[in-house]
Amino acid sequence: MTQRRKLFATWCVVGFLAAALPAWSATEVATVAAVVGGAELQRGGQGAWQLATVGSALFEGDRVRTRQSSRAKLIFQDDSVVDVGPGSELQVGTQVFDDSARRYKGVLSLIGGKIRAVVSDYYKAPGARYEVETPTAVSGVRGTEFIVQYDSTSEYTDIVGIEDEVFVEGTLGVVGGGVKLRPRTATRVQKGRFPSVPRRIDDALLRQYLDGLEIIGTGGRDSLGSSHPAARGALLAKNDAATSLAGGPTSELQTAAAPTARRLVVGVPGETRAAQFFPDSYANSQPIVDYRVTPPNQAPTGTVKVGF
Amino acid sequence: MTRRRGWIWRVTGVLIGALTVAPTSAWANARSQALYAKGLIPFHNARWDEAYRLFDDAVKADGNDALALYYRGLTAARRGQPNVAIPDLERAAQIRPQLSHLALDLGVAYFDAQQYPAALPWLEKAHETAADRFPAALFLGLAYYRLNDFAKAAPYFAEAEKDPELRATAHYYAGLALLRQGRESEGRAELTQASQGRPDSETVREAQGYLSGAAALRRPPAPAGTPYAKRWSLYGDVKFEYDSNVALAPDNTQLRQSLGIAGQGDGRAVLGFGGAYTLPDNPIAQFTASYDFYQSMHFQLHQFDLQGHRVRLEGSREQGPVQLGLAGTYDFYALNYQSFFQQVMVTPWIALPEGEASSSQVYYTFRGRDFFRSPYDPERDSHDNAIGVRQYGMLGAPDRVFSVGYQFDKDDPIPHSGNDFQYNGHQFDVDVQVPVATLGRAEFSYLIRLEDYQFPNSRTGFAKRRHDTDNEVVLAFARDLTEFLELDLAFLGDFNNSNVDNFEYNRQIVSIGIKARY
Repeated sequence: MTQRRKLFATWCVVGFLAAALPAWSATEVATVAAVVGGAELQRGGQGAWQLATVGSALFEGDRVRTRQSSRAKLIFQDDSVVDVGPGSELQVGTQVFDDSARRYKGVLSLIGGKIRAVVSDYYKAPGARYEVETPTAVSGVRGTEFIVQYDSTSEYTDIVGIEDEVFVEGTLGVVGGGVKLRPRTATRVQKGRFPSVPRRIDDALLRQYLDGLEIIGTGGRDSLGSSHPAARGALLAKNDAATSLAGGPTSELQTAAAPTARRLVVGVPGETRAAQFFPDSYANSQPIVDYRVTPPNQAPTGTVKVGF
Repeated sequence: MTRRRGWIWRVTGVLIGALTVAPTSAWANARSQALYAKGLIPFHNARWDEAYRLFDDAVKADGNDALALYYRGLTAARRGQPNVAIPDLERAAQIRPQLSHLALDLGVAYFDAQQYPAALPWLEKAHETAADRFPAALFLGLAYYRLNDFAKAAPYFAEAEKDPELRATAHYYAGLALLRQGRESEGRAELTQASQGRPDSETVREAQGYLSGAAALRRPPAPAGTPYAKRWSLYGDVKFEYDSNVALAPDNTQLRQSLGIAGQGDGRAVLGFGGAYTLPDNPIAQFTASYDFYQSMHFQLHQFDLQGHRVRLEGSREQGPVQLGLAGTYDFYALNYQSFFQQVMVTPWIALPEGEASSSQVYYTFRGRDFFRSPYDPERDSHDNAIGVRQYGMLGAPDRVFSVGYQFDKDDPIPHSGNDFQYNGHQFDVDVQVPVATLGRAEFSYLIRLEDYQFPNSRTGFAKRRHDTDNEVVLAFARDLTEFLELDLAFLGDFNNSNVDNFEYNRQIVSIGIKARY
């Protein structure tokens, strides 16, 4: 009976380890580098959403979403950077980064909103593939930087080339119909259609696409002004201690040592506290009445009791 | 011809390229952006060295990456290197002058580098933006405070007080500015506001310490160059005391009767006044001169009315890691309005601070006494040489201090007829001062003193040497009633045990008084 219990316990442990193994083996493929206004992530694209903070790890299948007024910056293992704009949702797809075999593959799925992707130089290698998918388009890049914006209501995707070339195809499943975007050109892919002919965009339109995609800093209190020790109530200098300004009037509670906020500075020693508080006791420290009756160095007459 | 056409194409290509890239030139290259993004993670977690290395690599990847420069500068400032931060922040401001918070950060970096005039234009620029208005106001106030332009600092502190997070700090420094101008009541009002901030902040604790009475402690000899608002002070006090044994009557009843002491206890009024003046700072040392007057008037035992005059000069300076001091005191006492004795004391001392909150002190005191009348003239005229050590420390806060000390002294009467008074003394004492909630401040002091007299005492018919053990307990409490008035309560318990009955006595004194100070 005891052996059976031991066997059962052993199998429980093995089962637990086996269940936990996939989680251990999961590789972090990206990290949240900045969050402005709050963002959430969902593990494996299912279950509860949890708060995303700077340093949160992302794995294949994870989703990230931002609110209408928030943004997030992600840094991937392949050194690609993705800025997630306001009101957006993104799923991390297949990520392969094997530098020794020069195998690179990065796939993202934009479910809604917009992102700016800055793709690392690894993807200039032959065979490397970096793609952003939306329900209506697939954007492949061999270049550096581009914007993808998906409007889930009207079901179209806008892709804007910022630097180098971006190849865009629809999701019809039909070969052909792709377009190549050069910098400062854009295409739109309506649901069930091929990409439109690339058109050049002006500064105003480019700014419109870029709006909400610039994320400066971590989204926290990065500024020196907001996080300075002075703002936290620290003393900035030794002489800033109010007690060091204590001047003039002395109290009965005066001591040879007086503190400042930063260090203790000592004063003149030598007198007892009783002497300072009660000069009468200090000046009359010998029994003067006795010595008036019999002066010092003279033995008094009569009986004197000597104690031990 | 072909070569010329090639040149034209190259120029054209460059121009087209420049026009194409221009709108996106705000973005740095991909490598720099990746390193910058990686650096944000340790930056957020205050791992400054790691963050600095990544931002530094980002700047190396693209020297015009304004964000990498900006964050390398912020990280340097966080590492306590504002002078390293300033060039990065300046460069970032050249590339992207409209970067949020950059003007404030540059102003703060210049402030931290103690380049206050250079900080002002950046802080003023930041002050014009809604997001940075209040922190910029705080640092503008601080910069003007550092420049001793208190009038310009005041309105900025007042503005910063509107931000709940900056309120306590702004009140605190506004209070300091007022105190340095000698506007004590207004300064105290600001510190009162400051004291209501987060209790874990230094400025709040410091304001509370000042208000609860640390300010009333004797001013320490400050390092040369420390500015003080007021160099002089005056005080006057009146007290009523009851002294259970004015005449030091012995405990032995029979002996007391033989000496004709019928009643040794009495009440008295005590008047005092005085003032101090601190000489202007100079590179040698800080000097203070003071005078104190004291007069006790007994209700019945008028022959014990004591008058005292004290003149004291003291100076101190910092010399490397130690503090050196010298004090000279002259005292004149009159008993029953007749000259009693005069004495001179000289005390050189040296103190060695151990960190911020404790200090050790060694001292020597010479005391010369000269009595004017019988029965002590000339028997008690003497030279006394004392050496002592003291240890001071804070008990976790600036307004909680303690000290313990040991002193050995040798008192040598000048004439041989004074052999009754020649002794070697050993003295140990401990003293603690603490605030009592918001009520005021309290002190407890205990002293034990052994006096080993060197010659057979006349009171024993020269049969035995006298040995005294004196125990003194002092309890005191002080409370500020107003800015200028203070209530003082004090108790002394003096228990002198002696192997000679004539010197064995107990004495308790209680005192209540009001002190006015300015």
